[in-house]
Amino acid sequence: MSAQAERPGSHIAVVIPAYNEERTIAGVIRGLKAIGYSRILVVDDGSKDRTSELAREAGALVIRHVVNRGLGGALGTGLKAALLFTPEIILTFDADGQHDPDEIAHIIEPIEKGEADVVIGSRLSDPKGMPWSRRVANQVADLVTLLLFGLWVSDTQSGLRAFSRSAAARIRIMTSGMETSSEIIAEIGRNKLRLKEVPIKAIYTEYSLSKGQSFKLGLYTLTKLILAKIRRSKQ
Amino acid sequence: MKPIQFFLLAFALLALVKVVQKYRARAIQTMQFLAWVLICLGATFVAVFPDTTNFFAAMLGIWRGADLLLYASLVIISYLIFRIHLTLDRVQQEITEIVRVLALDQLEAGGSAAVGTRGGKET
Repeated sequence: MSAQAERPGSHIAVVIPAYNEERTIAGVIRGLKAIGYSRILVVDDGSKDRTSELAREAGALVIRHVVNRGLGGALGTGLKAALLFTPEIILTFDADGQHDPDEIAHIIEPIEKGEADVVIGSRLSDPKGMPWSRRVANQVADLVTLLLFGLWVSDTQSGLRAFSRSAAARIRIMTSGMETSSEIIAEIGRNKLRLKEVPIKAIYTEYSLSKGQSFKLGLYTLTKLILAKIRRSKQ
Repeated sequence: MKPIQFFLLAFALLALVKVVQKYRARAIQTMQFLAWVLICLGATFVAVFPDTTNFFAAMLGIWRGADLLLYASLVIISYLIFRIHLTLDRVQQEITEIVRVLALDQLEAGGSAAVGTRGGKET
């Protein structure tokens, strides 16, 4: 029996960007470890709480940003760091406990079968439990992504994604904030990567909702996306 | 000379002195220096002969020279703010790059043991 069959998660690196997630981070890491995903990399994005300490205690490798850079900054660092360990697949996973670790198997399957280079777990295929305001906000983000980068994805803002190693190496993240989710879609298009969306359920708690984007932050993200578009077109 | 002309003239001349000082201290480049000197001289001229702006305003179909200045200022300020946004965006990206390098250095410092040896299977 190969090492991969014995330990289903050993060829997968899980990247968790985290900012002030001391309430959930340890539980998320233990949940992943319990089903065999042991290569867990937490990028502590300059948290002011015990996120790093708790993540380390729970058994993750932790690297820390000296100052907070935002979701994109942490994701970019996480992908770069994970590539150093040459895993077959790199998975991004939210730290707020909104993803079910059992769904990872469905997310990575298209990559393992060679059917896709990138897989996005779409919460909007079955948006039950997602508050309507959040649903509208996500759809606006999808529309903006389509208009700016020409690719329609049903849930551009999903934090559960899987990349083949070669896809992760080709994706260039230049933004730092929430706009990175849309930038990743742009990069999938630019590199002509095969994208597949797999339906997932989102676990919405009061906590995870408090961590998402507000309307004001949404407008800010939109401005940053337009700037990113201008910068990308200059290059 | 009306009070507003006096204020404009004083402001333009003060700006000119500052620009010369900055250039002498080599804080700005020659092209920037020349551009600012032109702007200051233009403002001085307009402050002393405000009616000349009416000529340019009439050319664009605007009645008063003062209105033309106001519109032009808005356009220039908007453009400058846009440029500042772009610059800030670039600076933000550079900060992220620095923070990223510092974070990745932590892996070099031996943190890799926690997730197994690099390039190989789980330890």
